[in-house]
Amino acid sequence: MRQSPVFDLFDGQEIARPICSSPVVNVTLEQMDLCGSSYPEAFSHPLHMANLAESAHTLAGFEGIRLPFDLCIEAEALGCGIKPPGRENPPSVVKPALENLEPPTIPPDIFSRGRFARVLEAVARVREKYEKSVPIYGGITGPFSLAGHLCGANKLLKGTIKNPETVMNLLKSVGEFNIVYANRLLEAGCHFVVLIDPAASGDLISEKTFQTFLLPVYQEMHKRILGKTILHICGNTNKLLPLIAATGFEGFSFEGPTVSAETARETIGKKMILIGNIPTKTLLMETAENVVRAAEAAMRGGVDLLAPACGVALQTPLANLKAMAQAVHST
Amino acid sequence: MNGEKREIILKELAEGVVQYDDDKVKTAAEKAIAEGVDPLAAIQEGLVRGMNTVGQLFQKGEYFVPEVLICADSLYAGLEILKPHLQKGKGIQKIGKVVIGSIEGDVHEIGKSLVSMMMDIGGFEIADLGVDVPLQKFLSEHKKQKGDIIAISALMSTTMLKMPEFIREIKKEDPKVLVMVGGAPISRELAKKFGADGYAEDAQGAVQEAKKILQKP
Repeated sequence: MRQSPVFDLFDGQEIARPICSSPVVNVTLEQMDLCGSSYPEAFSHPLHMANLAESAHTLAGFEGIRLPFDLCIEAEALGCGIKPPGRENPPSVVKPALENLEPPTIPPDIFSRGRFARVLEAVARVREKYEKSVPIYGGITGPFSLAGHLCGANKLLKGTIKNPETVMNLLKSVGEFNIVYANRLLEAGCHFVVLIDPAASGDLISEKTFQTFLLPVYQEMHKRILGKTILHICGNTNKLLPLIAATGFEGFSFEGPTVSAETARETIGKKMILIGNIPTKTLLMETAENVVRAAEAAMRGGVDLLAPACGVALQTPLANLKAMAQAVHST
Repeated sequence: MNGEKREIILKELAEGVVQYDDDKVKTAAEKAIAEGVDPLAAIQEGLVRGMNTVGQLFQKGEYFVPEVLICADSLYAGLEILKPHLQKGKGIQKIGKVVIGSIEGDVHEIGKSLVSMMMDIGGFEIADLGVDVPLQKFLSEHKKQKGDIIAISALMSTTMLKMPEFIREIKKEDPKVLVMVGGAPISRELAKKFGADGYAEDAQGAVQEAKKILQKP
């Protein structure tokens, strides 16, 4: 089997042109109808999870497969209240698991709880089929967002000012758990870990908060995750870019139009593979021509991997995802 | 009590909120009561004025969400002391009633809560329905409250798509109610296209916009 050039890119080699390969969730209703695997089954059934994840590659033409599709795997297994998924909505965290900001107790059998085993099985299936011909991205909930799930986001945010040491301890402990799970995913067959941490957005916290609470945790994760990691943070991260570049992570996936490809490239330079940043609203609501225009602008701005700026809306026309995948060939 | 002393107490209340210093706020609130400062003035020209400064610091990017949340805690700590001293019938005049929530399918809470809090502090009566709120819940609460405004938040492009239908159904039920929308994927242009009466980019803006569409100064 041929090896995807995405691996060359992450190994530091120059590639001829950007590749359309997305580490964020790329699932649409059309894909569900065409591939025969739908929400909500695909959240917990390994076969359906693998099949639906693969459809981004087989139906949309993306050079990449991303799974799972929600950010509740960890929270659910650690005891948060979860609203179950439906055909048109992912599961969501509705109740924190912890009363205070103390670190969670991780049960020794954690990976046989919740849906962990199913995610790992789905990863193994995809890997067996594709080997290294297509990169496999395994998403995990980043430390700040997972801590927010476990304790409640408002409490966590206030804690960064009122109980900084307690929050630091909490984040270190959650980071430790992230490392163990990330390595399980890699062992199961993922090529890249995608650390999704929307709560670490510049829309919510300052550079100082990011630097104090998250940078050391991310750096430790980078040291101990046994594979390459892509950090994804939604929203406005413009002021955080220099700190993101200092995490050591190999890739950064970011959101347009708030963060332009030019700005990201200018600040981060060649320190990270840049991934993004086609606005999900463009993919959802605009024509294929406009999608191509946005893709061309992102590539001119310097993204290495062309991808949606964030998980795509389910109602996104498949034709727009295809147009995005095709856009790399026109440059 | 001389005017100078009054000014100092009001300033301490405002500063205490901005500096998220609960003790300073509580001490100043006790002092206000002891010195006979009108509790309503202490609230509006002290605590609320401080919170308005917090809103401005947030808009300027000097304060972030954690600061705003704990400044509000300080304000509420002062409010708890001052409120029992308000004269009967001379309470805080409410500008209008708002039913607020994040739209069905959307569990994003932080932005919606900030808006809800700033509107409460800004003089609106708030019924906060939380997140993932279905249309029927907006409608029944609005009917119960006899509200003036329904405010809907969406943080995802998927859930945002439900807004036009929600607005249509709300207007069908009560043509006079004003609908405000907000959230990251929404713009003023989109809000107008969806049929909303008001839109704001952030919590401070939402208070101003609500006053504007109700035509209250």
